[in-house]
Amino acid sequence: MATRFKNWAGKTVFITGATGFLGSWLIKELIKNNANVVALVQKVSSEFLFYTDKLDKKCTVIFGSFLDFDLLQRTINEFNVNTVFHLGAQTIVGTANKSPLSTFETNIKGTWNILENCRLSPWVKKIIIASSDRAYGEHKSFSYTEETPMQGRYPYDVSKSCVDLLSQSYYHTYNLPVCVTRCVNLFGEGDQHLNRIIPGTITSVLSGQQPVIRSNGLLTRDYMYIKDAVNAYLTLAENMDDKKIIGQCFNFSTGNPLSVLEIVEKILVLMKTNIKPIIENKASNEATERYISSKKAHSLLNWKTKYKIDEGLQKTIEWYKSFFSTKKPTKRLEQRI
Amino acid sequence: MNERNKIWNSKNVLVTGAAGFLGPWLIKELLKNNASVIALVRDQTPNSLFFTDKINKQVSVVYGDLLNFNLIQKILAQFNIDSVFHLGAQAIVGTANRSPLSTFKSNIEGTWNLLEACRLSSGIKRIVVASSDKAYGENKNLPYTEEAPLQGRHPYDVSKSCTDLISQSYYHTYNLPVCITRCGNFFGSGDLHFNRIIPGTIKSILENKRPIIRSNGLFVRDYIYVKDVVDAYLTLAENIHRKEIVGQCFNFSTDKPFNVIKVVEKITHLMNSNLQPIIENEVSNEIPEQHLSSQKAHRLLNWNAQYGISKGLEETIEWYKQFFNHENTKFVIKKSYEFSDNNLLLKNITTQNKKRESL
Repeated sequence: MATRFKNWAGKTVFITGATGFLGSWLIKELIKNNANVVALVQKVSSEFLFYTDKLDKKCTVIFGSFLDFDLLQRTINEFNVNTVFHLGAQTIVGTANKSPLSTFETNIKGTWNILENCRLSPWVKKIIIASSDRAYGEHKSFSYTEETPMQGRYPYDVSKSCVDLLSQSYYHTYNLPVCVTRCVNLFGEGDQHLNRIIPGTITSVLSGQQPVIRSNGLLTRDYMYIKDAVNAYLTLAENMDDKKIIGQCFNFSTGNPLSVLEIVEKILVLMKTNIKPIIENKASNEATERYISSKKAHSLLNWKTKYKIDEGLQKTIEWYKSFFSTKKPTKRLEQRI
Repeated sequence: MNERNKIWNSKNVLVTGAAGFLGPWLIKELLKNNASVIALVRDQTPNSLFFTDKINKQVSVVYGDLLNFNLIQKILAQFNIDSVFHLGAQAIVGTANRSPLSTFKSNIEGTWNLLEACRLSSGIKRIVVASSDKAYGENKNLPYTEEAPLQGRHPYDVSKSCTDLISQSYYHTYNLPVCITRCGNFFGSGDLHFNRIIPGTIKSILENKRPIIRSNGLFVRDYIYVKDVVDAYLTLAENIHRKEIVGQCFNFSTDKPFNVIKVVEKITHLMNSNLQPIIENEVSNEIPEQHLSSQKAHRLLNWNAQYGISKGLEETIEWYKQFFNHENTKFVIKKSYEFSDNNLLLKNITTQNKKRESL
């Protein structure tokens, strides 16, 4: 903790997607370490962790969009930003399919706006761009390392492939101090996207409904607890004083993928319920198995997950319980997969 | 009426980048086959073949920008477009290094605007998107096949990697009838970028000066004559209804890569000159060897480069001879030299960023 504090105390850190799930958690940790956080906020809802945990009172809030080039320029300059975490994105796969253009704009154009502004502002020392394990698209081999080509085939995936490639190009061409993260699915307290598998299952059970699995449930994915992700982002940034790290991409995963059925069952057990899932068994063209290797992060950053999945799930379940204690989840929820 | 004629006869074809280098050549061929061409032109560049060969008088010209989504939608609807050739792009590597954002906008955003407008419109049967061999970035496995990953590392290259991936996604997600071309370096009449090796060398020799090679001359690249490229684009579009073609990417090359010194030698030889090149041997971060296999195009499209390098160069040299005899030429040359210091500028930018560390 002590070295982390030294790393961040007094540093000005600019975060996009600040009211998002990961953004809020990252800000909490940065504030704890006395960083001076400048948060770019576009969406406001009193239910967001950013407001329920009163983070808005502890950092500078800039209202606006990273699609606004001038706003970014003003912010990075006025606050003398040292480190940028670019987390803001349109992250819902279904929305991307319905609205590819706005997804490309938010994700791709948003990223080049950030990168270009940082290029023009030489006092920005560290830039961390959130890509995704989805940037890889699908490959025949089920194991994904950082060398695996970027070839997303659907709008959300391809938007992340582009984000990733553009970020790397700014390092290669302009020596911009960028690193790229490719995280697996995140879960934890405060995720408001109730159509994702973990929050969806928990909410179904809390409202006495059977969780619905649209696929055959055999699709395996890696689920990482949010605090491990926060630690990944911070560890990466802290290591960027080392020239070997700059310009690199890193997978962050638990290394233990679970099938949809397994994760749902884990939740049901932890919630001590007799409810069984409905398996709709609708055809899916997604590859059933994928393993994201975070060997590189282990060896170069000495990063490892600290939370076991059950531990993370338990905390998450508790949070949703208290979240819904004041109001009932009303809408029938759709599973993500 | 031949096959080509039958396919294009009275079809409404949109060509973006119509006043670029390839655009006019493609349009000429489309007009020869009785297509009705709608040309999207952004800047009026008087020296483009589009104007000098009076192509603008034979097509419907729409002045506008690919970044104007509404305009593209309007064109597709109003002209009842059947086929689209998306050639419009910022194609100069040096410009991309100096101005990455405008390059990303033209190349990436321009492409998604066009594809999205096509998706929302009905009745579009063929879309051919120009990617590039540069979309591959660097790869040790030579020649590049279509399976090679797209991993451009510099602004122009990465803009084409993104263009390419986004275009593929529109096929995979929405079944849009898209195909993608990846060609090597074009050459041919009408190219006024004299910082490119072929026009630059021809010009030097015509001025009786030694041609200048800025690199060590050993970079290996593909060169393809513009008329062979036109045939490639048309052949691809004509085959897009086939299940094994739609959604696919195709390399087009002569399968005969050359290093820069060889290209210069070929030109001096064809021009009966004894001038030896000056090899400046400037340090550069360019990819040493990059060339394409067009086996897939041979196999699936039965396409072959008809002209090849030598015949193409002969026609090209003739054209530049005529061009430099023309009165207006002086102005043109002066303009194009302004573009030649790209590498220098990139170096300055890199130095600027190195200062970052000392701040």
